[in-house]
Amino acid sequence: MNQSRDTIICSVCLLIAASLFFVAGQQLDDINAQRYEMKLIMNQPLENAPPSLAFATVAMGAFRGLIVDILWMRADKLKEDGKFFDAKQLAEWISVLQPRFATVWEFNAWNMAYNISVAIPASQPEQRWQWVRNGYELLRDKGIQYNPKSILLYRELGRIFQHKMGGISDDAHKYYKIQFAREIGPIIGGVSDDYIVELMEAPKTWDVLVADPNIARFVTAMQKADPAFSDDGDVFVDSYFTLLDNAERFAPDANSVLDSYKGSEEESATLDSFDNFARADVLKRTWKMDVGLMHEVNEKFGPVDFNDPNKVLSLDWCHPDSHAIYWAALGLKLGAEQEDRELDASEVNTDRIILHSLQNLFRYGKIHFYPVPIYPLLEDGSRATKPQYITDAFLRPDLRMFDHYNDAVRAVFEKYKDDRIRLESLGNGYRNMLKNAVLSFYQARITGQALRVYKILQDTFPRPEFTVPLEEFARNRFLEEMRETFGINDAREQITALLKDSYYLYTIQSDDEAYGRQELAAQLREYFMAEYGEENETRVSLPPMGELHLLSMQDFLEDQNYPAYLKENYLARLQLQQPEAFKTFQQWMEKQQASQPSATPPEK
Amino acid sequence: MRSVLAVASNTIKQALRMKVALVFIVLLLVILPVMAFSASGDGTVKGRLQTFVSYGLSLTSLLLSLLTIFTAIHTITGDIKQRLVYTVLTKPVRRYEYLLGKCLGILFLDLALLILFAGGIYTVAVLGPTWMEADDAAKMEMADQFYTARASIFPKTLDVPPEELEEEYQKLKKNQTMDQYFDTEAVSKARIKEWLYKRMRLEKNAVAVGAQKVWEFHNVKVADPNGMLFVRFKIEVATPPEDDQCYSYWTVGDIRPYRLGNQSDTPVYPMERKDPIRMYREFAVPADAIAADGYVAISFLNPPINNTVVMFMEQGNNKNLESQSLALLFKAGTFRDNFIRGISIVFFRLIFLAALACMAATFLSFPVAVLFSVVVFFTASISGFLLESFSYMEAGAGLFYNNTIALLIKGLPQFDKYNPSAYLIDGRLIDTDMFIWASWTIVWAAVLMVLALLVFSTKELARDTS
Repeated sequence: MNQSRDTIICSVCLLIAASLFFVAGQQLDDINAQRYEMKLIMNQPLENAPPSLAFATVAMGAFRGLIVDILWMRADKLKEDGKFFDAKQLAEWISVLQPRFATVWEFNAWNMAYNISVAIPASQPEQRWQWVRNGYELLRDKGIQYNPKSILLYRELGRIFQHKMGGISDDAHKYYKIQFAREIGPIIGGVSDDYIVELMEAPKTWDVLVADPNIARFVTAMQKADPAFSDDGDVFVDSYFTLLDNAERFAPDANSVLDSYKGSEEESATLDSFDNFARADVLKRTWKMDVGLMHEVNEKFGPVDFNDPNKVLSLDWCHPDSHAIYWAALGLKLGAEQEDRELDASEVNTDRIILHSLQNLFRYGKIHFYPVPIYPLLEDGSRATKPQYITDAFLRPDLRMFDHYNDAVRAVFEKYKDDRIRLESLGNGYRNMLKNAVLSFYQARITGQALRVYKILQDTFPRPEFTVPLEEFARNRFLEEMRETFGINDAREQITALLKDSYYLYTIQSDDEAYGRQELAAQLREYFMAEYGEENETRVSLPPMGELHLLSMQDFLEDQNYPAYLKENYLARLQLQQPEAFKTFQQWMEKQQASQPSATPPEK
Repeated sequence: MRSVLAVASNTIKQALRMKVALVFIVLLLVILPVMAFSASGDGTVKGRLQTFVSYGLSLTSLLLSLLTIFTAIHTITGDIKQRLVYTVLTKPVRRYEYLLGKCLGILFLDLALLILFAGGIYTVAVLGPTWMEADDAAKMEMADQFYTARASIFPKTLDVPPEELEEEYQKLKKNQTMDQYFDTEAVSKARIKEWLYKRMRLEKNAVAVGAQKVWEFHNVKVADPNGMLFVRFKIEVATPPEDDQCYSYWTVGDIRPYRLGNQSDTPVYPMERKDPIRMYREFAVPADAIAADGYVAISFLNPPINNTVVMFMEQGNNKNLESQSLALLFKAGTFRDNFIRGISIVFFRLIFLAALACMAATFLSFPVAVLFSVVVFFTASISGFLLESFSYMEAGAGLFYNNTIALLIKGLPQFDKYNPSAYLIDGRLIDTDMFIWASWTIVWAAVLMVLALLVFSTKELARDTS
């Protein structure tokens, strides 16, 4: 009796359990649909993931979320306490457990590139750079690989390039620029767009490459010369670049083979073909960049030749802002595949990355690296007599960027034409940029462009302040930038800085810009004297322009920031092209050294 | 006493025969060495050691805690279920001796394992720099910030007197500006005053552009006058700068003579810095900045280049380093002694858990007792987080939770508050106060054992058929 009762109870329980399972199963489709709507679902299995990652995402089961929460809390707590010893490890674990959650990658990359790097003193730029690099590599190499359609990650990657590396707010920003250029420069530094098109036409895989008998002969010759050149295409290419950088690490035969292929035209062509493949391969494999997209970016956002606007010029791919544009453009391109999407904050911010990077390239897109001698202090307190050289970076405007910047802004205005608030905010930035551009073109003596941009400004933003003539606008604009703190010290500093800048520009053959600087310096002195000089002639007056030139030249020649060879070039050019001015300066310097003031400062 | 020790000895043998105990021991034996080699931290020697000590100690504490719970409960419930307890209690062994013996046996085992694994962690921590071939700079950094035990003292804060607070509250109410900040119908007066208090205190401790703030410390006594003093600070600003960094100009030393136009007998150290905001930072000055009478002052100048108000947000009465924006740290002990104190705190935790498990086992079945003990353990381990989360709740739910569950949680020992690894990785002294507070868990353990004894002594064992 009891047994049959127990059997019946068990059966009924089993039946109820089965029914409940069935009903629960029926809900699954609805639940999955809601998860998809709330973007909580993995669209597809994690492809090409390493076994450890695939295991971790599955094995933990329901505890994965709990463990991730604990790791997040620990990471956040340590960050607040200023402890970063565990940050990288936690970032890796969190990323392993939640590879499809884009915010994880974004946060970790930002944490490394921003929070951790600035916690290291600026006197250790190499450590700071390591963390900035960790940040962008995490996104580029892993985050985006597992979340290829997450525009958030492209935006963040673009932001690290633009703001952290391309910007000037970080004390070690020059170091970042120098190191970045050192890494990518050997691959793609200073190339034209035509060269990038050649890279596009290179074979896509190693097997296709070595199918060419000429290339195969070259590869065989290199392999015979040094065993480092293995059958593995990736290893071969890496060894090739190492050979170019440091031939001593390889057998002499390897270098001989390379030299032999620079002889005849046919062999040179073979070497060029291989070289093209190698560069495209490294860009794809290490830098995760596609040369086809680089060409598209050059076409759409590259500098414009004033003499031939149809010519496609290449962006400077050693400049971090160029990479910001690349990644933002890629993110927008992938995001745009979903036509019915809403234009959310991530997308508009990604558009902003492009616009701001274009602005930055306009304002300081030309990087000039040069060695600076330093004479370090020795242990006995004296200065070393033999200099050590460090690399410094000098940033200058690239005015050729304006046209594509203007086109990009117009396109973005069109994209967000139905969003009044965003349009207004974008418009403010555009207006300021136009005002800056007018002054920049005017200072550079490219008056035609200045007028054109001024016309754009007047047509787009019809305001009374934009109705004055160009010259007056440029002067007003310059003074407006300095008005709040414009005293005698500011006047002296600005004039001296402009003049010193003009000497540098004169040395590197930017004559128009050099003349523009000198003109502006003269106008500034004139304005200052008119405003302040007459009342307090001796207290706050400025010397005549000629004297200011001589003083500034002296400053320029004594300034340790400019290397000796630059100053020698300046004097040589001055002597050759302006012998009178050179002689005047020489005489003035002799008098200075003899401590006898000259009676009348000469006019330059 | 002999009976207690006999029971304890049998308990140890019984525990070692348990598979689950072996699993935990094997886990520790495998994971700790792997962690020693694989912990990368931030790549620096100090970072690797900090990571290893932090995770090593936490893992050891966690696994030994779970081991304690499982073995304590299993030995007792197992004895009851298998009727082995009869063979013990029919001998001249009193029930309280039986229970104490069980608890003691577990604790002896815990102590042995704790010494073994903690010894391993200590060895790796001490020999790590040699194995990793650390350079002199790294060794010096570790000597100052890791292989040390630094005491911390905090300045007095400028507090808000109750009458001033009430006056401000009434003013806001009269001007009807309170509605700008609060939905006054939903939020209580106490809550509003709490917010107001924080804001007023913040204003008192803010430093305007170009202004200076001085904190004075008295009776500062350092163990090593030739060593270093550390100033630990965290800056907030009203308007974050573009690079999230803030300039500061500090002076550390005896500034009293300067107020009278004289020179100081002891060195005064100026320090110009640029630091990220909202992050704890430290700088060091020689300890000879302290005057002979133990006085030292720290002054902070907010330079005009910042162009924003600088605030030292947390300066409350909570003498916890994580809740203070400014602290003075100095060497007051050695890493070895600090490590021993830290391990002792872990052992106190195990004592509590052993007593808890024994108590649960006296009246609950094995699975329920384990569940109960594990829940208490984890709640005690995250009590700080839970209590903080209650403060974010809506008024109604918050009231309920704060008057029921929060009280229960506050009654438990707070393991996260007295987490020794957080002190060891930072080179902070586990001082006597903390040690005493942590040792209150022993008092809790004693209370639990008394409860256990009461329950067990009246339990009708023959009726237990679980």
